[in-house]
Amino acid sequence: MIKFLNINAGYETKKIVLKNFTWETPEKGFVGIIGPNGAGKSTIFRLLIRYIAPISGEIYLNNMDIKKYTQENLAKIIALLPQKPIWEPSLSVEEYISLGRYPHHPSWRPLSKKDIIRVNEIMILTDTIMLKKKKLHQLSGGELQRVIIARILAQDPQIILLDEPTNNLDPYYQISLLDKLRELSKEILIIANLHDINLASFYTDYVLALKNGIALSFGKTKEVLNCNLLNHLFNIRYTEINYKNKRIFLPIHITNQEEKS
Amino acid sequence: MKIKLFLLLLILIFLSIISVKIVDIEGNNEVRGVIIYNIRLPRTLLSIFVGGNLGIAGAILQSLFHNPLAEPHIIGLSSGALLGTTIYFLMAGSTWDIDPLFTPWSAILGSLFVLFLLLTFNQKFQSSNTLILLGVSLNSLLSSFTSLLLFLKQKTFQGVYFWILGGFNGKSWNHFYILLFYSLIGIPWAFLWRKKFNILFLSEEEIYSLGISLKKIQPLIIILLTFLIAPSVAVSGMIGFVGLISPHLMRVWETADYKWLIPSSYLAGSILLLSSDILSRVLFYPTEIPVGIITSFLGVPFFIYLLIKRQ
Repeated sequence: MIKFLNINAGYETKKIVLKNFTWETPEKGFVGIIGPNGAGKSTIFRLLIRYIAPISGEIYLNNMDIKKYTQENLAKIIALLPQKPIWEPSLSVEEYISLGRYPHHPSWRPLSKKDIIRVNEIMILTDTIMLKKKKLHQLSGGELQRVIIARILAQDPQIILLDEPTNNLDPYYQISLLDKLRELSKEILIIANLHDINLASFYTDYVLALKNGIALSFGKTKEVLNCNLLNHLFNIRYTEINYKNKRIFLPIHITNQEEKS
Repeated sequence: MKIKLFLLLLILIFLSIISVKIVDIEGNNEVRGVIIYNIRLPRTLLSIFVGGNLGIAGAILQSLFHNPLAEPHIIGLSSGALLGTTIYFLMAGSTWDIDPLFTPWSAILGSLFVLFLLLTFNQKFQSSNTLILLGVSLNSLLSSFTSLLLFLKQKTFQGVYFWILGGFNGKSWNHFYILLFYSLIGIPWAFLWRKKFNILFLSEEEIYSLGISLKKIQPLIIILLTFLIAPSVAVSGMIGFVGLISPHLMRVWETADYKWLIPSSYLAGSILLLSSDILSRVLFYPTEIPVGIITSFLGVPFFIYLLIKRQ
């Protein structure tokens, strides 16, 4: 679905973040990206929404160069939940979720009947319909999380990118969000940056391990994720515990701090 | 939503009638007709358009900078336009007759310069409150420049000074036509883009992921904003806080969705400025006070209230 070919990418302040990065994603499923801070996890997402352009290399989406898409057509395929979403607190839940329809209809016209019906369906699906008329500033943290996810689903994307979606959520909302994502990943491609190794182990179908802008390994979570890889990624010695078909990784101690960058 | 807009429109029409008819004019019917047609009508229309333009300019700035405190006057855009216009007045031989081409464009260049500075620096700052601080500093720097210029050319001082204080006293159809030209570009444009402003309020990454390339759209929004702000400043001087008060009241009254905020802030800005203008005429009758003073008296406490509420 997405193919990265020899991508070099970076920012003004940090010239090269991704180095000669080549990766092909599966068609659908739940992909977790793991790796230390500054490994280039968010940069992958920013390239895909064309927030930044690569210095060299190509990205293909459905076998077409990503540069050839208009920004709006790209938005019909890829949706993103950033680390720090910003919202206008006086917007109602319904209005906020409707923003997801933006790429699907001409922006100078009011929303079409079809769009309104779709927003309604999404609100039922995400259990936000009873919040419809509430303002965003009246919502609790968990409700807000659901509403933001609903806005992303209203975009009807084939690919959803999530930048550390479980940060700042209590365990209940972490698990309920990941359950929902796993459900969605039967139909579409979900790619999430995850800091929690165990959540990645329980929920993802595939894992991409990233360090210093280089893809260390990619494959089925069961095959790729192991103590060796984690040691290599984080310079921490892990031990693996098996419990009812689930693999838990327990950090034991730091191995070589000087090398960590 | 439609009923509320209709209500605002009714208030505006009611105020317009007061503004045209207020305080009986002495003299025969012919004199009355001339005063109403040549003085009061253009003055009323000017208040309506300046108030409306500043109202939606404020609403758009708040989305562009993700900051409900952004406003043309507070972040220095009006001061930029003011400095531009003052330079024009001095170069045109210390006149303060308005020129249909050069006066608005010197104002546009002035505020373009400030907006450009703000956007360049805004990317370097993390906190959105820094923007307000930067705007306030630019505001006082540019105002000082204007004062310096006027001080050096004291001959023009008085005429330009009254213009700076902001007001519609002695303004003619000429002023209105200049403003109308830019408003006819700016108002439909702002309305057609109402949905984009909803998206622009989100974080930069979300803006891109919803299908708007910020890099491409930002220069256009800058042009739209200067078309709304600079000609208003060129014809009426410094009128602050209309762009802060009206979008905020409309947000609280109904919603922050720009499909509501654009038309309602326009009407609210018009109502606010027209009623301030009426006040400025009757408060110390027969002496008139500049309307900019009234909007500041209303606006500053409002600004402080919003600052406290944000904490």
